Amino acid sequence: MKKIVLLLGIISISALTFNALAQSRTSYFVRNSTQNHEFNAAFAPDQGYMGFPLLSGVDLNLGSSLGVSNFLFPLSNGKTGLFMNSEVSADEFLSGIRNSNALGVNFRYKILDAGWYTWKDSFWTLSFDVRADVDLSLPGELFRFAKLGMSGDPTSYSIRNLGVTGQVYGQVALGYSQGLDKWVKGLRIGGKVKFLASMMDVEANISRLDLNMGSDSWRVNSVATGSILGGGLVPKFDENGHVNGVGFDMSGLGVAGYGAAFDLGISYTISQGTPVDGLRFSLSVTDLGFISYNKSKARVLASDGKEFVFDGVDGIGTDTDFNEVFSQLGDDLLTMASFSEQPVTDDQIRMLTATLYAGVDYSFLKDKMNVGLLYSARFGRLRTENELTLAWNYAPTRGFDIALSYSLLRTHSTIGWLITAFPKRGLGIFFGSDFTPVNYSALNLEGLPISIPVPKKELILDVHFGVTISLGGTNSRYASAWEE
Amino acid sequence: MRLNELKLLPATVSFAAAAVCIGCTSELKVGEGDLDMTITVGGDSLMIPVGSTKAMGIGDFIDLDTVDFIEVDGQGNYFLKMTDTFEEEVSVSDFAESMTVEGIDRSFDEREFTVYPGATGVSAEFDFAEEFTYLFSFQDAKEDGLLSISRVNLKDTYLLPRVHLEADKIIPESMVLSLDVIVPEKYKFEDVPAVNGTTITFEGKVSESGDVDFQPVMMEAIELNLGKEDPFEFQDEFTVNNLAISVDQAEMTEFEGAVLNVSSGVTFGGDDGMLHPSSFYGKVDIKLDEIVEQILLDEIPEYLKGEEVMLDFISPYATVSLMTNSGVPIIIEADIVPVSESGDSQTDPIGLSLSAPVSDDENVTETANYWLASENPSELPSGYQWVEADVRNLLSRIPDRLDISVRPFSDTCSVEEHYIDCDAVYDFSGEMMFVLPFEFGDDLYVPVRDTLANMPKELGTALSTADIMLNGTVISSFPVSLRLSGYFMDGNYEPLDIEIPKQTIGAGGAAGEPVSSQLSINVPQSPRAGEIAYLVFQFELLEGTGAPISESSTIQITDISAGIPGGLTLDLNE
Repeated sequence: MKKIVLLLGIISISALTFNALAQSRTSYFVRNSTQNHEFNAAFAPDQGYMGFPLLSGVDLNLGSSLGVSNFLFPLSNGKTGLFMNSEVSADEFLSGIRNSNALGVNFRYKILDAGWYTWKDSFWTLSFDVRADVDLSLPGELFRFAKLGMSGDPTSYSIRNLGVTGQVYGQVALGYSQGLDKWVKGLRIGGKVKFLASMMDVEANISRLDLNMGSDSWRVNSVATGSILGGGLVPKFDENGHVNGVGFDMSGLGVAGYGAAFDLGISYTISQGTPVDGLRFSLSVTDLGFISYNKSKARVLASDGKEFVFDGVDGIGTDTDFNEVFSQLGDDLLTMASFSEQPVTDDQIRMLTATLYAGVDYSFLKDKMNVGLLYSARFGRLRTENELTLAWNYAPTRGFDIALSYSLLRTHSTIGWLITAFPKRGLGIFFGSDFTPVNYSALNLEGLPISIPVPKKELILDVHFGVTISLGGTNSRYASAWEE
Repeated sequence: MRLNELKLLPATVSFAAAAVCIGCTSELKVGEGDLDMTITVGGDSLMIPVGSTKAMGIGDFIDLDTVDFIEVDGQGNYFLKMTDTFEEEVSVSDFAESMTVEGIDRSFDEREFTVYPGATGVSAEFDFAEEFTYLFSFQDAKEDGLLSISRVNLKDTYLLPRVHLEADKIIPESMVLSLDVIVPEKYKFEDVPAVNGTTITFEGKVSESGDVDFQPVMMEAIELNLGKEDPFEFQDEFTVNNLAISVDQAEMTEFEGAVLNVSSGVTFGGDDGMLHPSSFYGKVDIKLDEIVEQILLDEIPEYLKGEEVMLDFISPYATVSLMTNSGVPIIIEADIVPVSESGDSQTDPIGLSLSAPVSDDENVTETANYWLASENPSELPSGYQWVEADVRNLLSRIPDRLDISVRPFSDTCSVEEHYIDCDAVYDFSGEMMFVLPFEFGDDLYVPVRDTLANMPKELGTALSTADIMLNGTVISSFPVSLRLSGYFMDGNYEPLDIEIPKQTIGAGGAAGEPVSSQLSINVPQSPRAGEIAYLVFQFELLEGTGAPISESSTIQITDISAGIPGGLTLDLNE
């Protein structure tokens, strides 16, 4: 059981997301999607809808640029070993490690979701979501340090941007999209306003950690900041005022901060009777906003900024308890990158993770098929992630869409897919995944009769699912294409 | 229907293409027994800074609070001190008793004398001469140990004749009677006019009843000059003569022709008729009781008493102080024997013969100090007399105890005579102190072992897969060399085959200045390292420089690092 727990830990650590967006990016170019207005507020489906109670939408994203194969290796004795096993060479392990890696888990649950047309080409949306995001940045130097350790006397490492963030908040979003054909044919704009209530925002960021390890001393210079906003998590301090753990206090849970955010979007579809009619350009930005936390519910942490020198334990004598020495040694090592609490004089404001989308797609076969290219840039606290997605969408019948995507990230690529059934009347459904690895390793877990396929190179779990109820209504696309 | 099938065809093809692309390309077993959770951390050249020891002095190895024997002198130098004292009364009461002999009390036959008219006018001398002998004996004192005697001082002893007259006429009121007592020359009286050499003239007024009122003459001493071979018994002859009376002229006329009946005698002694010596000069043979003492050294740490221990003290010494208010010269013969419970000591005992001082006054205690050492110290403390004794060899090992036997007796061979006050209370006491300064020579060898528990699990883990190299810098002002070594034991105190190789640490400078040396110990890897529960740590004291170990003598290991080449392998399977 212990091994299983550890294994799950490894899988979690290897679950390095390269996109923290919880919505299905593959749906961006699905023109009858009830989801793509989450990317671009100007987008609108062919008809109104309402999310099925409790099943309006679930987005779970767990992704990784590293896979199990980065951490588990077959050994000569036929067993499976960890990357820290001495049989696994440093070159073998580090060849699969990138300079910058990140761990991310994103969860979004739509409690309420609805969209409707009020008059021709005016589309409103209203949703109530709960979101939880965890993001961890793991620089490759950290893995080098873990694997190589001391290769000489001294040995130095410079670790940059080691951090973790986490937020839990709810939002009420009201969106409006308006076609502007009467002024510019094919032009559409939209916007959303979001009201946010946050339970918690946690951040710890070691922007710089310089390690110099010698036989006489280990020296650490670090620049680190952190904060715990909201209740629930309570830092624990040692006698020196350094954080040495985090506890959980149920009584502290509650709304800790309020904020607002906006989505803005615009799209333009060429329809001038030219050969490139159907070519659509879209540009949007989402989550442009902030959450403010009352200073009474904020704890700000920072490193001392001083060089920490560990040169062992002084005063060892015949009465020394060597278990105590080892314990102190461990404590000192932990103190190297530890935080101490800073006074909080003002309310704390945290920006949301804004994302920029720029897309172009082209529809043909009477709007039943389109291909598109999407660029997105996510401005996270720990890093900015860029992604390029090539999508193909086919709607063989009205109300049914199949989409495939190929995403090209800075570090690797992946395949996504989406199936959307959104009939004119009745229940609709969508499910899909943006990241579908093609290489798997079969994990033969203890006690299970079957093997579990686990992405070999990148551990990814990306699921989007939802059930909708069609409310009818129309827009220009519906009128022009499908009425024929 | 056909149309719908055509529409679905691309979708089917798309999914089929995706399915073809997706597949398992490898297999990783993570089932029971399939996952090897062994990891190695730290890298090929892992060196952990361990820190430094405190500057450890002798107090860190020996709990000085529990060892009364170890002390620190004014210069901060350690030394081992063992002391013993003894005391005994020098009793002379036997002599006082045996030399108290019967005095003289003689009465002579009555004699009649007629005061013939006109004989002398106012006085008349009579033909009176009495001789008597006196047997004097100190034989009992000789049996008590009196070897010779030259003079006995007497107390409350006097010579007093007695005369009673009966007359057929009224004894004149002015009548005075005188007589001489002639004594042997050895009898010494107080210096009064009545004493003229050996003749003591007594004169006393005759009372109406006929008694003559003489004043006693105190006898101070008897000069005997009896040698060792002489009998302590002799007979003296005394003479009483020159009996005469004198009467005033006015009464003499009337008294002429009177017939006197004279009864007389002599008393010589005290009120009880005995001669009481107060003191005497001579020689006595006093046998005091043997004094047997033990200095127990059970508080000294066992490792200082082991059979393999060799304590090569450079300059150990002992002091002996003998104190007495006695006028008798006393010699002590002492044997000092180291005893080890484990068996016979290989060390020769020390035999001593020391003279106690002599006091002329009972109220003054005199002291004689002796310095016992193998060699005459260059700076002998004032008041001490060096006596050669192989203390260095005696305490080359620390025994379990020192048996000390002291036999005091009077020095009968002394030139000077003894003076014994028969009423005095004489005490004789001594103090013996062994002082072992912590200054060691080349032959020093003291192995000290200590068992350390609470071995960190990480140590066993590390040694299971790799050697551990301990490096550091030793700074020592200890004036002895040290050799470190050790081995590990399992939970049942059974030695594991994991030994810490011996590492010698050089001694500090001769003047106590610190000397640096490098520590480099390689503890070998062992598959049984996981069983490590105890470390038997041994350091052997070797080759002292002769410099004293003081409070400032310390040893410290700095910049200790633990190198684990190849890293620390941890088995997380457990």
